[in-house]
Amino acid sequence: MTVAARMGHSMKWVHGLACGAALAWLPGYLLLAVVLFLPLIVAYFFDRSQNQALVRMMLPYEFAAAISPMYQLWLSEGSVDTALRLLTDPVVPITAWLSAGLGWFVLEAALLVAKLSKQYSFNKEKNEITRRLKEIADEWDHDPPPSEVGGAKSELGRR
Amino acid sequence: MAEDDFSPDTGDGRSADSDRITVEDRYVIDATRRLPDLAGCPAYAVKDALSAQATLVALAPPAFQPARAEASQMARVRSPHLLAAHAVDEASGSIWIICDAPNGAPLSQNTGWSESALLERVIQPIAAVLHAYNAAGITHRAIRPDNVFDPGGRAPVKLGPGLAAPPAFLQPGQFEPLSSLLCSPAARGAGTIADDVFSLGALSVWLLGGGSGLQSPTHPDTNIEERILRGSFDVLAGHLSLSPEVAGLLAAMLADDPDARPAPADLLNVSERKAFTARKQVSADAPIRVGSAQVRTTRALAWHGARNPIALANLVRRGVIERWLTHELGLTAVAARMTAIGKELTMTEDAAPSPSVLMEIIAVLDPSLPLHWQGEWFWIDAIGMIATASLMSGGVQAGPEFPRLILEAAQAGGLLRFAQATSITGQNIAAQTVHAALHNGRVERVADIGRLTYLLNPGQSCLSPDCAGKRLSAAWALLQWLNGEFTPTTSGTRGLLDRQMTAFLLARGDRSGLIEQFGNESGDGYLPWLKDLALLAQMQSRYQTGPLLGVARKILPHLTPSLKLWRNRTTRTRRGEELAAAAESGDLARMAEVVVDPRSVAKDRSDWLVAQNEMRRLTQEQIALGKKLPDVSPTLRAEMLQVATALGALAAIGSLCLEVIS
Repeated sequence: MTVAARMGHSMKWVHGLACGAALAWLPGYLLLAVVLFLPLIVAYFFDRSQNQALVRMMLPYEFAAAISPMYQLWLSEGSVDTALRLLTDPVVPITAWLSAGLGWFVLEAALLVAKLSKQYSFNKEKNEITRRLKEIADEWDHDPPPSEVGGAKSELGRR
Repeated sequence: MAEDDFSPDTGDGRSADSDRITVEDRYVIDATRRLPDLAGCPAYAVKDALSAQATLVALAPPAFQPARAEASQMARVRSPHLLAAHAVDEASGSIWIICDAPNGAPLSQNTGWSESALLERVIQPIAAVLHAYNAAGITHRAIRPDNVFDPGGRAPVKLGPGLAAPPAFLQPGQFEPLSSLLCSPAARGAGTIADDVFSLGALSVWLLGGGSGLQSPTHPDTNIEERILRGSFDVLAGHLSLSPEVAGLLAAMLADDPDARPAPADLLNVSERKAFTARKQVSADAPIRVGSAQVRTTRALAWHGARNPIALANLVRRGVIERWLTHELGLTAVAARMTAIGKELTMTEDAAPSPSVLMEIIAVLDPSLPLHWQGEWFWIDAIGMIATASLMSGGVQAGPEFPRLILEAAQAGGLLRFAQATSITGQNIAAQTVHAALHNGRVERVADIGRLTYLLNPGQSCLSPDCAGKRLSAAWALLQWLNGEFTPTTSGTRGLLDRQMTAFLLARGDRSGLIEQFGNESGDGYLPWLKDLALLAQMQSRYQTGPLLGVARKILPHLTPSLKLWRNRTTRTRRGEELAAAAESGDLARMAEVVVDPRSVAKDRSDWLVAQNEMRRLTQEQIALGKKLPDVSPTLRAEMLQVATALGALAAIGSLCLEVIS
């Protein structure tokens, strides 16, 4: 068993303990966080990218969306009622979940833009080659010249 | 020659003027007034601007019957009994000979002569002319009834010019000695003064005989055989009743051995009291058999042997001739030569002797006979005229095989060997001249023999079928004609010039030091039109003709294919424009420069290779690009993830700030 795996085990154990403690002392926060971060939790299990890159990328977006409800919950001292009230307001979870989607969307859009720009430069290169080929074709004959000196010689030989 | 003569437009203006040709600034020829031929040459009316009394004619030797090569030298010969040639001039582009007009009817129309009148009025004056010719070292070779003119009364006759036609070319057979009669008219050569003496003797005999029946210049073999067997005097004068003195004189003049004929000086004071004895040729008592013929003289042996070489070679090989020469004729020196040849013959197994050996046997047997080579008889100095005659359409004057035989004889060293064996003077120099011409003209093939015609006769006009009628004997005149009225025929094998025009221009250029150009004609390098352009450009600068617009326009359309040597279209277009501009200014040298530029072609070729390589590379790249679909690389994806994360972080900070502010 490697050191990292052992560290993972110990970390999981710490995570479990932290979750338990949070459930015991901060049930409102936990509830709100779990619901708002649901897409991340789902993504955590389905993300196949290295080091959970997708989850890490979506995290700041989620975070941005979760700041306002968390702040409201903090103002009401983390009561479960406020958490429930916030959760029942459809705008809050939907905003949170959409912000996760926004993260994914931004990534895809960035990829698309990258792709398109690459395609553009590609086509530019292709057009440049085509243009140069046409230029050469216009400038030069391609068949061997008809009256090469050898041909003239044989002609003269007959004279 | 004025430069503006060469523009085609003024060419027309000139042709209106060309009926009046001025020679040496004093003789004005009227080319529309044709007079009766003189000495077989077309004659035209001419006036002497400085002397109204002078009666002159202008002779225009046709292309295929050119003036003698030594015409200028002959024109300097003066004698009171000769129609003097005052000028031989080609300043008008064609040869014109200005000559005294005949002062009476030709002898062909006046044939009743007594012996004494003949001696005084014909033989003495013509002997004086021949004496002058002999002193100048040349021959006349045109003594025949239609070229001797009788002023009437007791005045001596006048001899017509001999320079206006090839030597002995128009002589009827009976006026020619055997050494000339054996050859076809073109192959007779200038001969010796003894041949002129023979002609004079023959003319006398003809006049005494009443002047009947002129034979044709070409002679059937039967007549020759008769003259060989019986001797020329017997054949020509045997039927006449002559006084013994005149008979002796004529027998001497008509001797078949040229050394036995009197010299012109001996005839100057000839009279009925002066006696001549003719040497008879040594004749054997016991004849020798060659084939079916029995012969008694070396001349007859040579003649029959030439017709029957195998039999002759057998006789030589077996020593029969050697014994016959020694015992029957007492010719020990000839017999010794024959022994040497016989030894040479026994070494070869062939029954027939080689042409060279046969030639030598004949030359040894009778050193006064012409060169014999594979059935043809000719004199070396006639080779130029033989070449001319071989180009004549129909070629009746020289057999179709003649050029080949001449080339063969020259290449086998036959000419020089004959020159050493013959007793006729001048053949050695003639052989060397021919060899020099063969070398200078790079005549290596039978087809090139035509070049000799121009190289051996400086007055020979161009023999191209297109312009032979124009008698163009100066290179600039040919250029002018090409520039003006000439329309080229479209043919795949020739350019603007045909073989004759090229040979003519090169031979004229050769005389001016353009020798190295002969190589070009036989062929390395370019298409016919290009070669012609190069030659004409050289001629243009050599003769400083100024612009040759007509020539340039005629050549231009045919140069387009040669521009295809350049594969670059821009270069080609530019060269085409330059070529057209050069043609428009009539600058042939510039045209040649534009079209023939090997360095530029080589550069174009290397550029073309570079372009082809680039094209190949680009095509490969194009194919590679076509296959490769744009794909998002993991690094790009990682980068985009970072970008998106950063944006998210910004959004989070923004959201936090917003919450703090509100």
